[in-house]
Amino acid sequence: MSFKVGRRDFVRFAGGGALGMAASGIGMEAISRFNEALAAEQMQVPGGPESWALGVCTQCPAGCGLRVRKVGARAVKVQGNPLHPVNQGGLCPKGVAELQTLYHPDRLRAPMRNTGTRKSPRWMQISWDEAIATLTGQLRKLRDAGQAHTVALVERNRHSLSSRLMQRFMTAYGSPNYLVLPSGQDALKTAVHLQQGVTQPVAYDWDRAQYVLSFGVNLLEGWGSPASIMRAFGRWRDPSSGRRTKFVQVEPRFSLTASRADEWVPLRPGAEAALALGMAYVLITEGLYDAAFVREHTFGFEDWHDDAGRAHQGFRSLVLSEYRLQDVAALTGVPEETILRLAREFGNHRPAVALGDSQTSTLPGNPYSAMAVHSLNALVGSIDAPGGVLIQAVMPASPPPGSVTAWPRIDQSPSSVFPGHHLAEAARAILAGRPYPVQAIILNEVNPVFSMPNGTAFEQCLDQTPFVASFAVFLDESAMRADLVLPAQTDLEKWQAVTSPPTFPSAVQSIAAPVVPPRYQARQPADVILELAHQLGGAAAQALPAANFEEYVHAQAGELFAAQSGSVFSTSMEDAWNRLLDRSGWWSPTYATADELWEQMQKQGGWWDPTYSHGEWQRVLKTPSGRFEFYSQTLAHWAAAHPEFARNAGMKPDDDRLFLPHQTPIADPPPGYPLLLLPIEVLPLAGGEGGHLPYLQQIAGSHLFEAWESWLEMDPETAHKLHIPDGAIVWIESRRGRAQVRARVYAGVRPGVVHLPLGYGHTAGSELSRGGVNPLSLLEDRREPVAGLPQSAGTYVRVYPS
Amino acid sequence: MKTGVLILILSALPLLGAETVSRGAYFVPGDPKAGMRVFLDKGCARCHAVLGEGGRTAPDLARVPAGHLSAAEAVAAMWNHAPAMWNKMRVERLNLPRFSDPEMTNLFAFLYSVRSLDEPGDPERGRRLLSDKKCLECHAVSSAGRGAGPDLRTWTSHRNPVSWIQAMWNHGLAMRSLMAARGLSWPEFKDNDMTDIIAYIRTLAGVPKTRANPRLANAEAGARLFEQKGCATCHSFRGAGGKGGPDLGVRPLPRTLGQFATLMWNHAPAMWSSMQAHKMAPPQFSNQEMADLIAHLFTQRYFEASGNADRGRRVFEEKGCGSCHSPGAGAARGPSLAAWRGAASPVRLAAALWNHGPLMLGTMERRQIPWPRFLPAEVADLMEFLGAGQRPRQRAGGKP
Repeated sequence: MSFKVGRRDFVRFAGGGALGMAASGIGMEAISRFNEALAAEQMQVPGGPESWALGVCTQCPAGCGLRVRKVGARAVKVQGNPLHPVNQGGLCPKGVAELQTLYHPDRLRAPMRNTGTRKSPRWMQISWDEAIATLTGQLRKLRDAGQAHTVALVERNRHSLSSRLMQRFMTAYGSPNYLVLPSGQDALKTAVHLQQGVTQPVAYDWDRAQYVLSFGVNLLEGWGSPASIMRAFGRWRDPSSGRRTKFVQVEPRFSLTASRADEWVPLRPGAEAALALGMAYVLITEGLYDAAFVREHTFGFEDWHDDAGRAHQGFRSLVLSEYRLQDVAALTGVPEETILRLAREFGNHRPAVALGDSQTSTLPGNPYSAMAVHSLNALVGSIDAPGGVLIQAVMPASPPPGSVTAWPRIDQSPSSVFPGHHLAEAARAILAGRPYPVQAIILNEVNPVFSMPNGTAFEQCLDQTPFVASFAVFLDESAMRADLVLPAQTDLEKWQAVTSPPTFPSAVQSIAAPVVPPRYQARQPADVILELAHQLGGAAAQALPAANFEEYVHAQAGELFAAQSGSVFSTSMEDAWNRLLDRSGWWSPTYATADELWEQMQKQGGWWDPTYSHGEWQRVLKTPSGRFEFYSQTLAHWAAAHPEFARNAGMKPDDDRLFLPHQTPIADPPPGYPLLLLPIEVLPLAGGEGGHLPYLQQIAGSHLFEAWESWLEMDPETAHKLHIPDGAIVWIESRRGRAQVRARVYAGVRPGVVHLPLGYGHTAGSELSRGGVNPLSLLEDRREPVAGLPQSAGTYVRVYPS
Repeated sequence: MKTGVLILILSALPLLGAETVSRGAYFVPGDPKAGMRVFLDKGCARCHAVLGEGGRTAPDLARVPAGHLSAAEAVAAMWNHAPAMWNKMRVERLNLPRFSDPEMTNLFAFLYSVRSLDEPGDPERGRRLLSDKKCLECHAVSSAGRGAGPDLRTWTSHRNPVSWIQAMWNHGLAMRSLMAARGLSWPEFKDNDMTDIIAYIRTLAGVPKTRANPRLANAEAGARLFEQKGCATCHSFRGAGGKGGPDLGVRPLPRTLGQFATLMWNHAPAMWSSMQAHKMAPPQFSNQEMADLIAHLFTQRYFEASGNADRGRRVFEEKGCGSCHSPGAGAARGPSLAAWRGAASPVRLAAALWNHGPLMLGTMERRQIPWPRFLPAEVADLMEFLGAGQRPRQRAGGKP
């Protein structure tokens, strides 16, 4: 592809993308207003002494430590906290953009009551006293009427003490409906639960892995804990480390992650399980698997008989009979010799880890595929081994209070089998009013109308719920459907307490005091919930006695001290010293009391326990057999009582493949819709968030020199066939809807597939975020049959010139 | 507060510097954590590992040799291998580090510290040990256990062998009675048996538990306990103290704290019998007390057997040191060693080796003088000779 800098490109790069914004519907007035705000807040030299303060970034679940430069009371620069064990001084673009969030001119400034209707809201500014009195009145009324269970609180799983507080509040109040948005790791979490019996997040020993095989995971584009993964990636390539970790990316598209990998293996979309099982075929037939681990720590590898004497198929015979190389090659499009080589490399370069399957932050993959990939880890003995796949250490904390209600969670999902929350199913249940009508919804800094694949359904849920309150930074699509909007503080204004991030093996507690005074009338939602609990009285007040969130966090530090392990964030040398001592059973804290720990946590950024204990089999293998289960007995036991499970999967109830990893059928395109739509995630807008920030908008599509608006990636062959030139505005149409977008011809796209980036196409909130198309608005509401997780694959579209 | 196992061990004693101690023994003060920084900053970790962390091209300094390593032994090994090390470093284009005396002292303190730490054991071996030693005759490790003794699954948070020995010691008499009633003999353990058993018990941690690690041991507190608990009634240090038990000042101790704790367990029945004969009740220890006591006993290893100045003179002459150096203020081609008078120690020799050794090696190669090799005892003798200057010093502790 030739590179030509046209007038449009020049203006975009030189002038902040003004022309691009005009094309995408972002008004010049909006960006001017932003610049004016920045000029007032950020560009002018503020007065006062220079100082530095620590903060925590919550733009993604990683919870990276921040070091913020201040001049007077104004924050002027954000960089990484070098003592923080997760990011170690590094920071991704989202963290750098924290300043723009703080000083964003479109922020909500005061609580507001909707005096209009849900569809035609009219907003009236009210006081916090009135807002909290309204909220308290609604919840008290429902509780006194025995309807506490009809209240739902929805938030993102923030891995924070704030989330723990919210959960504790809902339980004590009497509702089972603490709901979180789907996570991209839900399929992986389901697979690990079915095969290992644990619900703790899975983690990876990146530093010691010799071979990393990713099945479509956007490892370098926002997955897991981005800063820590990127740092590990750097070490894989560092010649001074004395070793070279090989990183192979398997996915249909030549993504940024694929471009940085040692090898990119393109495959047919949705065929990840087949490829993993084809590799398993090679490992087994060539004796490259860890026979000792399989023998001592796994179940269901060989054919077996149950207590009733019934014969069952095992993993080995399934793989050997159904995943021969030529069959897998035909299904995946990956040549036989490539599969053979990958399997041999994976088996011979231990410790090796496989991760997947493909996922974005809000669209999990398929549990069967994730089981197939995870089975590779078991085959090479990487389960809980150094350099392998670990189970995150548990934070020392008092157990949550027991539920005081007999009512089920609204979605009635079997959490004991399929962990994770099923907001998609909750939306259906709310709309149907079964098993009970939901009377009130509290949204805590989430926007499910925009970020859920079935956002329209959630919009209808909000419309039919009698009372909706939303903590929000912007008046987004979901807040627009609320009765009460409560302005939330941003990261640098509030007390922060973020716990262990996903994919990180150690227990981590990051904390930070407010860096700057809160702007406008924004408040920390946790503080509001605490006040709400006190005003409600009863069990809620008893469960949350802290006067404010700072006091709540301080009390948690006492629990860390009582645990008598770990240390405050420190230099890598200190950490190495502590690890040396801890592995031999000694503890060398720099504090003698809980208050000293609290003081040091504030100065250094937090506490963590750097030691991971490998081989605690009863902690990491909690299945019925106490082993890694290729054949999931948990799933089998559940299916025995739920005949609809096999029906939904399209299989006979006695088919053992229901409980073994296998390749699920890949649907053919319906007539008239020949192209598979696969949403993609780019690092600046990871999680589908950040569209309101110019820093991020400007770099979101850097691989195609796109900014401020969506683009539709399509391969040259398809573009030629459809007579669509590069840069043309086209219609993309699914059976659910259609939208206009700029087509970009990209050789890294597989023929028959088109890609749209997530995070674009807001219809409310900051005007800066309204460019482009939200691909979720085009996706059909498809869910996989095992755990009912929303699926990104499966929606076919047609594309034609505008 | 100085940090680290060793520094707390040493804090019970006067800071003597890396010099000859008045009692005629070498003593290594220093801050082990600062020594770890030296180990990392000077690039030692590029080639050497400690407890498996670090380079792989040279021996793990915490593991090799398996037993206790004296300062003289360490310096002798370092001296003898120095030319090969320097050559390898030149080939790999690594800078040769220089050390100040305090840096080298801290480095030695670090290495001594980590060498006293126990490594995580082998769980499979631990499982077999529990069975072989008949521990499972009384203790449960699964729901099908026998139940006479505590269920060992409740001990998954205890990962320090000292903690295990403390519990076993406190309950030892009761255990012995129960075992006698069942016809079981007192099990003896060796080497790293205890860490292997702990490693196995850790795998039984079904419910995540925080660790119950004792804080770093305090030898000063241990010294007080040694008196308070009546240990001094029977035991002595280099002749001073009770005579009923072994002299702990001359008895060779195992390398790690866990191994020492195991030794204590093995001798517990004999100790109890002796106490019974003296009408003493066996003392009880808390977890931290046991750690402190063992730390106190460990300090004794750092007063190492000293050398002999006369033999040192012979070493000085036979190894050809005198062809370049003068032990006193006399003229010589190499630097005078007069400044070592009253301040010679293996640690100082190690610093000098790294700072001047490469130049010395070049000069010797030009003059076709072979690089001398030293035995550990020769290093100790040489230090005595240099410490005394030109005039060999007669000391009460030294033997001619």
